[in-house]
This record gives sequence, C-alpha cells and structure tokens, in this order.
Amino acid sequence: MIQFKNVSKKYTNGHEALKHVSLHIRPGEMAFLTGHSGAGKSTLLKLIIAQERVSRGQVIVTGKELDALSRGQIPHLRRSIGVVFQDAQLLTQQTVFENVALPLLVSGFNYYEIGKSVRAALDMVGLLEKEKYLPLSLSGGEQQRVSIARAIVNRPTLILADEPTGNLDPELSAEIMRLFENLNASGTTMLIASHDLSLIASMHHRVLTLKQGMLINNGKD
Amino acid sequence: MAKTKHKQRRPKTKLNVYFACHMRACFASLGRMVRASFANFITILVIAIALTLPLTFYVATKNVSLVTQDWSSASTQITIYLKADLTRIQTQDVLHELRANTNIANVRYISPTRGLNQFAKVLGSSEITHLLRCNPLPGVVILQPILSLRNPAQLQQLANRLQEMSSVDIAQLDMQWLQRLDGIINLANSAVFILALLLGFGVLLIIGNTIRLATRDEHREIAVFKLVGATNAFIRRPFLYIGIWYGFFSGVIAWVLVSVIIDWLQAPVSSLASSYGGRFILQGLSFDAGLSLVLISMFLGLMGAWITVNRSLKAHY
Ligand SMILES: Nc1ncnc2c1ncn2[C@@H]1O[C@H](COP(=O)(O)OP(=O)(O)OP(=O)(O)O)[C@@H](O)[C@H]1O
Ligand SMILES: [Mg+2]
Repeated sequence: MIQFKNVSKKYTNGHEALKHVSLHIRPGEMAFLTGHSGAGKSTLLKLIIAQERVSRGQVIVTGKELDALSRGQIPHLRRSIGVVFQDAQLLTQQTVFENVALPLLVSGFNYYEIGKSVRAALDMVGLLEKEKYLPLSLSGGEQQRVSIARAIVNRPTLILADEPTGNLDPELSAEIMRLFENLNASGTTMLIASHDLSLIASMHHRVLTLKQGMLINNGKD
Repeated sequence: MAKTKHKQRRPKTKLNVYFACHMRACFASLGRMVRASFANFITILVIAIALTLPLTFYVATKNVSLVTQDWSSASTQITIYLKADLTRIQTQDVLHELRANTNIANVRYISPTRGLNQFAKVLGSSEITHLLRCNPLPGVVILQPILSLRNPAQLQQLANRLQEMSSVDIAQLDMQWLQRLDGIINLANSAVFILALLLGFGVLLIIGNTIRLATRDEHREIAVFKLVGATNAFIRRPFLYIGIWYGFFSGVIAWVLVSVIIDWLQAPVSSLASSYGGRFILQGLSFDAGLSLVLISMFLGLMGAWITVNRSLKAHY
C-alpha cells in the first residue's frame, strides 16, 4: 500500500526532515507513527499525498511511484486517500456539512446525492447535530472531528491521520481510535501519527518510530 | 458493499456531472458576488467606465464619418475655366455638351461679365469695371458630378476628360480639403482602435486584479481544495464564472451609459445643426454592437480571471 525506498527529504531552507527512510505498510494494516516533535512525522505523511516531493528515494502508494505522476494525476491519487490534518484545514466560510461534503463534491457528486454519506460520517464522529455550524464556532476538538469525518466520508482505501486526537480528551480519543479500528476491520489501511504513547501502547498495533528524521524502529521483526 | 452503493449514486453520464459542476460554479459565484455586493458594484462600475471611454469615442467617429459623407455628396464639384477667346456660340456649344454629359448632374455658368460684377461687389467698388478696358476674366462653369460618381479616382478621371476639351483652359477638382478630412477621420479611427486596445488591456488588468484580491483571501481555501483531490479545473471554475459575471454586468452598464450619453448630446447637436440650417440625428450603438460589447467584455472578464487564478494555483502543489 505504502512503500518508502531510501527516502530523504530536504526542505528548501536546507533542513533535512527525513533521512534514508525505508518502510512498507501492507494493504489492510493499521500502524502508528511516533517520534518527538519535529521528528518528521508530518513530513512523511505529506510525502504520501504528494503535498511535498522527495529529495531522494522513492515513494510508492497503491502501486504508483509518486515522482512519476504528472500534476494532473495527483488529484486522483488524493481522492483515494483520506487525510486528517494536524491543523484541521477546514473551509472557514462553509458549514460543517459542506466541509465534510468536499471530497465528494470534487469527485463530481452533487449535494442531493451525498446527504446520506455526509450525515453518516458526521454521526460517526458525534457531530450530527452541528452540520449547519461554521467551523470557527466549534471547539478545537470538534473541528478536528469534522476533519476526521471529511477524511472518511468517501470511504477511502487508505487513511492518514496526523495527530487526530491531539485536541481531544482521553475519552473522545479512545472513541476515535475505536472508530479507526472499525474502519480498519472493514479493510481500510490506516497510518496514524501520534505522540500519545500511552494510547498507542494500549492498542497493540504496529508502531514506527522516527527520531530526527531517521526511522529508528520499523515496528517489525 | 460500500463501493456498489457509491456506484449507484454516481450520476448517469460524465457529461451530466460536467454540466452540473458548471451550473453550480456559475450560480455559486453569482451568489458570492451578490453577498459582497457593494465592493463588487464599485468594481463593476470601474470596469464599465473603462469600457465606456473607447465606446464613446467609437460612436463619435461613426457620427463624424456620417456627417462628412453628407458633406462630400453636397460639395464635390469641378470648376472649369473656359478659354478667354471663346465666342458666345462656342460657349453655348460647350455648355450644351456639358449638359449632355451623363456623368454630370448640374451645370452652372458664370459669364465673364457676371464674374466681373461679383468681383467688383467683393471689392466694394464699381470703379474697377470702368478702370479695366476689357474684361480679363474667363467664363467659369461649375459642375456637380452625379451621385454615383463619388470616389476620388472616378472624379479625377472625369476632370481629366474635361481638361482635354478644346475650349477648356483648366478643369479643377475641388476635393483636396475633403481628402484631408478623410485622412483625419482615418487617423481618428486608428486612434480609436489603439485606445480601445489599451483600454481593453486596462479592463483585463482591472478584472485580473479584482480576482487576485478575491483569491488572496481564498489562498488557504485553494490549498484545502487541492488536498482533498480537487482538480485545477474544479478550483478554477468558480473564479472564471466570477470573471464572466463581472464582464457581463460591466458590459451591460457600459451599454446603458453610452446610450444615456448619446441621448443627452442629441439636444445640443440638433440645435447646432439647425443653426447651420441642417438636421442631424446622432447614431447610437446598434443592438449588434451592444451585444458584441457585452460578449467582448465577458470574454475579457474570463481572461482576467484565468490568468490570475492560474497564478495562484501554481503556488500550491
Ligand atoms: N515547509 C517547511 N520548510 C522547512 N522546514 C520544514 C517545513 N516543514 C517542516 N519543516 C521542518 O522539518 C522538521 C520536521 O517537521 P514535521 O512537521 O515533519 O515534524 P513532526 O514530526 O510532524 O512534528 P510535530 O509532532 O511537532 O508535528 C522540523 O524540524 C520542521 O522545522
Ligand atoms: Mg506534525
């Protein structure tokens, strides 16, 4: 599903965020990505959706080598991946409903067809009654849950989550994790960046650890 | 299971999806403009005025060329100076021949005696007729060519033929000032063209700049759209419609403005014309011209939006 082959990422300011990272995550797997702040977790996830490009090495997602994709193919790649961003990345002028509907709208569905899917996704994150709100009138945790609903609404085969529980209390965090486990049980591949080590430890899934841009624990063997 | 559910919801054809996307973008952008009504109204007015300037100029030159067409048909004439030693019979023969010429509409003869009297009248003294022992003036014939013979080459040809008649001393075509006027009008026309080009470019910049300001606020939103897999075409679409709407409203307002200006000028122009004993009705924009104006303006709006939104699309990966 996701394969990194000796990947390095150097930002334009010269900072090397990832160094020689190789990893392989199989279809249907659920894995956590941990590491100190600044270790390169977000960078790794950004490489997977081609938001950033590698400096060296190869990233292969759903069988496609990302560097070989043309600009026109990237939107199609992104539609098959649900992403929960560290900062929720919501449209502030549009309602919760419209935000969650976005992945469906961009792939050509219209508002009449998507009501059911959007409400189902909002229900899963417990925000059904807030569909008409604007994002800025929600709490940080609620905004993050809108972002989660948006990531799962079109039932992608791969979900990437960057600190999805960063703003949530322990109880809600556990609930979101159960949601992720359910999605994974129905076949969705999950990669979740988090530094909530106690939560991760309680879940018995594969854990990859980054330290200063290097993958020091593959979670295998 | 989930997959098949999705398939059912997908609209029947690709074309349908395409059309639906366009309709949504089209009306959503209109809605967005209505919500930010005041700022947009000002922008539309600015564009409309930018359009009105070359348009008014265009209408003005159209009217001037109408006027000069009138003049040229009224005042093109050929003056013939007869040889001085013609007898009365010979003169009559010449006049007869000229009147028989099918290219000539009107013949007016000024005899040497009448010419001298007119000359004396201009000088304000009848003494001169006494001072001169014999009349030095030749007979003069003023001809008006027929209306179908109005182009300079044909007129010149007629004048040359008259020149070759044995009793004609000089045949002279009074057309130079008209040619000059023609030249001036041609110059004005090219000036209008250049001005229209410049102002059209200005309109492009104004619309482009407006869209740029709009997209500056939406910069972050464009990033979000990209991250959930929107194609550039999808993101671009609402902005392009905004550009088209701007163009549409500005074009219509410019059309109205020009019509109002012409209406307003009609009264002074009429009174000016009547003081010269004429009648002149200003020609406004024809429906076709107005329609082209609106279409061109919509096209400019589209281009302006296209250029700017593409620039901000390139900023995101
Ligand atoms: N756009 C960028 N330009 C330059 N340097 C960057 C950029 N984004 C991230 N970095 C640097 O790369 C390093 C890794 O950043 P990254 O966001 O991947 O860390 P992280 O592991 O997600 O941290 P956190 O847990 O705080 O979110 C950091 O040192 C950061 O300063
Ligand atoms: Mg991060």
